[in-house]
Amino acid sequence: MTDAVIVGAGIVGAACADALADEGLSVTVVDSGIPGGGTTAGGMGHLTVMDDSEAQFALTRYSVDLWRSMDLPPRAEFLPCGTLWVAADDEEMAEVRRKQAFLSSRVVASEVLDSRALAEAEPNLRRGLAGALFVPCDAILYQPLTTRHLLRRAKFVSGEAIRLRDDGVDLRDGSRLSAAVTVNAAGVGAPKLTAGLDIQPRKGHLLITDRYPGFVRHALVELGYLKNAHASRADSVAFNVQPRVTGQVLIGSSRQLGATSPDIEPRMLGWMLQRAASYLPDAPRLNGIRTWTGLRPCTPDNLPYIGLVPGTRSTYVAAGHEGLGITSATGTAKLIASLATGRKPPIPVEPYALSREMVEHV
Amino acid sequence: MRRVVVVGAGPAGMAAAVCAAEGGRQVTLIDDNPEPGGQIWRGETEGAWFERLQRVRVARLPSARVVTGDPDARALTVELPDRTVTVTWDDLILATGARERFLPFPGWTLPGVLGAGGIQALVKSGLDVRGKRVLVAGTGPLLLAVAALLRSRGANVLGVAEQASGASLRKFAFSLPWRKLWQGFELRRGIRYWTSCWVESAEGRDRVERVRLHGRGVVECDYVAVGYGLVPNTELAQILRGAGTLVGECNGVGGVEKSLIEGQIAGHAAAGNAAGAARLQPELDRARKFAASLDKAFALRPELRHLAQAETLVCRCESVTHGDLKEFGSWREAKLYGRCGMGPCQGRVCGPAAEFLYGWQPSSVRPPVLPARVGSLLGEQHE
Ligand SMILES: Cc1cc2nc3c(=O)[nH]c(=O)nc-3n(C[C@H](O)[C@H](O)[C@H](O)COP(=O)(O)OP(=O)(O)OC[C@H]3O[C@@H](n4cnc5c(N)ncnc54)[C@H](O)[C@@H]3O)c2cc1C
Ligand SMILES: Cc1cc2nc3c(=O)[nH]c(=O)nc-3n(C[C@H](O)[C@H](O)[C@H](O)COP(=O)(O)OP(=O)(O)OC[C@H]3O[C@@H](n4cnc5c(N)ncnc54)[C@H](O)[C@@H]3O)c2cc1C
Repeated sequence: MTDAVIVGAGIVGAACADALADEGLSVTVVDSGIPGGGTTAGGMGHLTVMDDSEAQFALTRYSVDLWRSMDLPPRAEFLPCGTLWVAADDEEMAEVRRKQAFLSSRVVASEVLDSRALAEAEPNLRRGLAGALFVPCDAILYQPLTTRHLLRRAKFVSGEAIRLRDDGVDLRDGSRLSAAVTVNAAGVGAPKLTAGLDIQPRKGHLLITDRYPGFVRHALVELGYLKNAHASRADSVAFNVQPRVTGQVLIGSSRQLGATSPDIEPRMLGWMLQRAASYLPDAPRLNGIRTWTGLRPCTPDNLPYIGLVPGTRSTYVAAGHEGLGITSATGTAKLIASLATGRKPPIPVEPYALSREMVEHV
Repeated sequence: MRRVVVVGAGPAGMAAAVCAAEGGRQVTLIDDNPEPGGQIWRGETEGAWFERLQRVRVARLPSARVVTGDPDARALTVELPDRTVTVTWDDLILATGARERFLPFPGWTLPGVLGAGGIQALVKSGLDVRGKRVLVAGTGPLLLAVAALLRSRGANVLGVAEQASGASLRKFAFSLPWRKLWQGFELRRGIRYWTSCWVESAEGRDRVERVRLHGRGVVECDYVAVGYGLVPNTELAQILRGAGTLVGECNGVGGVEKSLIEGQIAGHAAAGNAAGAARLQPELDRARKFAASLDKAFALRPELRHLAQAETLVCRCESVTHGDLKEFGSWREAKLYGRCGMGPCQGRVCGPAAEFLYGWQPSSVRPPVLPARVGSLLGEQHE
């Protein structure tokens, strides 16, 4: 018997374990695979403040602050390089200014770069881009080892959960993990354990290159990213490239609803790389050494489910973080910890409540 | 006209291409070396198969690496030195051969410690070994071929350390056709051949100066050539999810005869020559029996699992040591948490070593098969 059992040792479950341990709770985490081996291993590890909606901003901003104040070991490969939101034309430059106004009114520092300043900051970007917004608080980390670090105080159990209750979790092998609090942090697997969650997998492709230190210096994202990728239900790609501590270049990413096979799809991979090459004309000359895919846990309103399962006393959900689960794992975990210990949440929890679905769909 | 595409121009691929072309098919032969020949005939130009290949019309794509493929589109992505092309097939034959297995022991990464096949390739392309003291070690018939080549090029071959026991080799020798046995003796004449013997460690300041041999003490040398058998190159076949016929070493290590027979059978089959393929069946059965007896005679002994020390590298690309890997329980964990196999070679070297040392099953293969220019993976133009 431990105080809390968490299903899912992805970054979200691991962060919850860490936050609950901070509250003095004993924690068991159960996963059918290896820690951080699910969607977490398939992602990019970009910690970024986003402003799609006020609720998304509140959670990502709070989360990025938490990441930056955390004492991470070197193997987490934390790289405080900031993000450059790249604007291709005047229309996107207008978006740069809107975004800056939004951030500055909420006391998040950012800086507008004109075409020249952008070329100096990132010499490998194609010439003639309109500019960029530099957001210095953003960062990058290596998700699998960060996940392991966050799990260091929890007991890990290998097994498949089949049922969550207020007083524990039942496993496929017939055993049971008893606890006073249970958390469903099973990512794309969460709906199997909590009825009514609308979480669809949204597949993404990535490629990593050999070592080219300095090829890019910041997390680079095209500004059309939000418009094109998040909103639409059609397949899409976006320019999204990161430097890694190793000197490697990580190139993303694609989005597909309805695809669940982990196989690399040459068409999507090629399309994604073409997009990257259109911003980084020398990218085609780099050697790619590995590709992989991941399934983002996607919700209809792009906000995660964080909160109590209606009708239960102490069964919580922390899942559905789509393309922002690495970023918002820390904030999510603090919310779960405050709910589970009955304290006032650090930011309003209502936007992420499980019941919001019904309100919206009525 | 329907096109037969053959990947790999070693004996298996050459035989397949020749038989398919002699049977009237249009054939494309792709290999990442400038000339055909594969591992065994590297640098050679004469012999029956070279002549037959000369006589038929085969489109050759030399210095061409197949980096990935799409089984649905029946297309291979082929990287040439200056550009990338897509090659589509109607019939596909994969003859991608095998690579050497390396097992880590203290000092195995010192300069002067080379793979047995590695030094063979270097010598064939000009490495001067005259007067050099070379120790050949590891397992399998390849060691004899390497020792013979080295001696013919003027090296002072100190001996061949074969890890298999004399008893298991004697059983193997009886099971061979006498021809093979004779070849073995021919090569060995004048070269010391120690069975149940292996390199425990290699030492030296800037490069190897001496090795410690199990049961035989220290031997001073300039080069050590170590090979622990061959590992089939099945990565491309895995990416192609079962498309194509596998022939030669990539279909199971068994020596050049097996490669040639399997290549011919696949070539005949592609040309619709069922009789030609059927005629070779008895030979194929014999060759496969020989392959199975090879496997048994040269099975790796468990002692080889315990040579690596905590600080011995297992993954050279990412500098991961045997000690680093102790805490992991699977290949996936070793990769994800320890960076083992995450470098440019993508586990082609350390993967088979880890499988033998720790019993880890390799994870699934994803493109590219070999490091590939990003530009090669762009596919058709979008947008
Ligand atoms: C291509 C791509 C790029 C991305 N880039 C970024 C980025 O740059 N920044 C960012 O913030 N986010 C990014 N993401 C999103 C991020 O990776 C995810 O939101 C995040 O990893 C979700 O974490 P999780 O812990 O909820 O899920 P997971 O990591 O999937 O963890 C859930 C765990 O639950 C286990 N599980 C499921 N069901 C059961 C069961 N019944 N019993 C036991 N165990 C179970 C699974 O094995 C798994 O380990 C990206 C995602 C993708 C695919
Ligand atoms: C290093 C080494 C040395 C050997 N030396 C000897 C010897 O001296 N004597 C002996 O009897 N046997 C030797 N062998 C065994 C020998 O390989 C076989 O007996 C025989 O050559 C196998 O023929 P094959 O056609 O099946 O494969 P190989 O001869 O290995 O031919 C495969 C060919 O495919 C190419 N290839 C593989 N993947 C790709 C790709 N993705 N794209 C393009 N091309 C590709 C390779 O470069 C190679 O040229 C050696 C094996 C190795 C690995």
